[in-house]
Amino acid sequence: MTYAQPLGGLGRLLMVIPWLIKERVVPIREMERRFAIKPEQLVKDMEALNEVDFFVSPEQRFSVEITGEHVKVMEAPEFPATPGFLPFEALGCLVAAKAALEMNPEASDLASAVEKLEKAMIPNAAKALRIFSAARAPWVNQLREWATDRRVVRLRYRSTDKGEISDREVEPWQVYQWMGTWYLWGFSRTKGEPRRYRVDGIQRAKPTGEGFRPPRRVPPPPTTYRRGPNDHRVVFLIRPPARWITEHYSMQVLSEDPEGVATAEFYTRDPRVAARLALRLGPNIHIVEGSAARRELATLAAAVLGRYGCSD
Amino acid sequence: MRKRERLLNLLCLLWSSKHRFTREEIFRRMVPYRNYANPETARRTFERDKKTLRQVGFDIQTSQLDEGPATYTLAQPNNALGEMQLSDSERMALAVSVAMVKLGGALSVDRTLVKLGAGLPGGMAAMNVDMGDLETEKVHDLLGAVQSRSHIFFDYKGSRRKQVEPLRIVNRSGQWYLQAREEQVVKTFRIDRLSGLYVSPREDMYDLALSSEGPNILTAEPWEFGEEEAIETTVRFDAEAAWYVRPRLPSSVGIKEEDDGSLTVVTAVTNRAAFFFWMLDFVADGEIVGPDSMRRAMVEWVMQSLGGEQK
Repeated sequence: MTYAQPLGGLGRLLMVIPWLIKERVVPIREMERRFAIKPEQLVKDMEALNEVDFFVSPEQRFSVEITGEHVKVMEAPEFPATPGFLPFEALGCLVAAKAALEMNPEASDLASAVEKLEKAMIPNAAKALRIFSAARAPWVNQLREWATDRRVVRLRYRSTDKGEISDREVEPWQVYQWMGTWYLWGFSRTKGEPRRYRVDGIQRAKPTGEGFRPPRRVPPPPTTYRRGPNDHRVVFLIRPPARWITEHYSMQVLSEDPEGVATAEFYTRDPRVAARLALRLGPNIHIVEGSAARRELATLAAAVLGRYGCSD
Repeated sequence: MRKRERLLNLLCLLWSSKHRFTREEIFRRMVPYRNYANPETARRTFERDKKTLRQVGFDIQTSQLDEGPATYTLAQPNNALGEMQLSDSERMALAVSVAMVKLGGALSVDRTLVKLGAGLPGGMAAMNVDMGDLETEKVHDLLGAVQSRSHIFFDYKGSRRKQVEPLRIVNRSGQWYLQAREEQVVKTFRIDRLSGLYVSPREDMYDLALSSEGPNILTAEPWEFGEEEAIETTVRFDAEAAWYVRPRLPSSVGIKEEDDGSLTVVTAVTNRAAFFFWMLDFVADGEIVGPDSMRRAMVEWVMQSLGGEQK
């Protein structure tokens, strides 16, 4: 099997290194053909594994010798004979491995390991646990690599709520998936504060050539909205078919009538966020308070109606 | 008695026997809990101790039969897992995936990594994937029920107690679901909303094969599994928007890239509210081109978003 695209860091670790452990001596040309990876990159990956104490025992190392035409494994870690997992450890391991496999379906050693783990855990129903991860977004592997290498990146980014495209300089800390969407979390040099970016909103990304030093303790990426002092307050009336949004957005339900119609409070830095929600949910939501959001809703609705030839 | 000693004693008690202890039995055998004057304080201390032990990696399992008291036991390593005969390359692939895919929620894999021969790499940027809060105990019981093909009973969102045939456990976008057959119909339940789980001891009660008709609720998009009559709908997205629209298109829809760079998407819509919600995320970068009934419905939807008095 040949991979047309160069693999990202995780893909390389999942595919190339297990392959080398199995084969021990491989022609460089074969490695380049299969994985589109140069010997220099391989050496860099191995050094990274050894430097970050990936292996528990300090004697465990992974090293190769690169001759003119071959890569030869000189040192490979010896793994413990039987993992002896507790059930919940096996479950955690299986979930992580399945998520990694979902992102790197070509990783054959991982696929066979998952199969063995499933058969051992649930022998009569090996497909009983399914993981559907977010689709592999472009840039995910590349951004993670730049985060590892601590390289400042210039992004051409389309903001989700405003739809505006602009350039940002970012110190990338982490790539993560949350609620089925990939995000980049890092320090925006342009804005002077930590920011998260939807990876599918990145049109172009390129290292600037500068390095950066991340904080000693990188703050965790936000998973809920943090209210700011200048936020707009919007109050929605939400009918039962749209009630689910109160679980997906940071909303405070103020009241609910016997028919299930809820009144909920929503804070946002940009009223367009609230307007967009109201547009998308149509008759199932109504802005009760928030004049700025109402104005933005009118603008958005006019744009859509104009597209359908109903500009009045 | 210090907390550490109390925890060790609790561990020793649970480890000493395969018996499932009720809380009252544990309190009778352990002086520190018995000594609390206030039973509520003893109960809270016990709950904290269980949590602490679970956090450091001991798998204390709870079960409850019908209205009876909860019982506790300590899970032992599964022998079958020790006989997997993983090759070194498979072990390496597992270790890398467990180290690099950081799971959010309740799953801790640090000890798992050590057992695989790897530690937690500090200098590499991990690929964090939030898998949501997983109640491992519940999932463990559900997987056991799928394996033995045993009926399960549970309460769900205030409805009457359910009896279902569990088929599979699914994580989609960080949310955990149980897919199960109830009265011959395959349904999906959110695991966090399921309570009072009881697994019947009777095994081999049903066939695992899924009924295949209709879209799979766990892989299809929300607008594909509604109950409205299906309408094949065609949407055109502008060329300038194609670069960011494309990664957000679900794999289940038909996509055609036109010569001018625009995208034509064809999909069957059986839930219009879900479809308009998705479509309007792109605001005016895309347009329904047919059929006319869907164009009109979209216009009406947007008009209604403006008309507060109609609500």
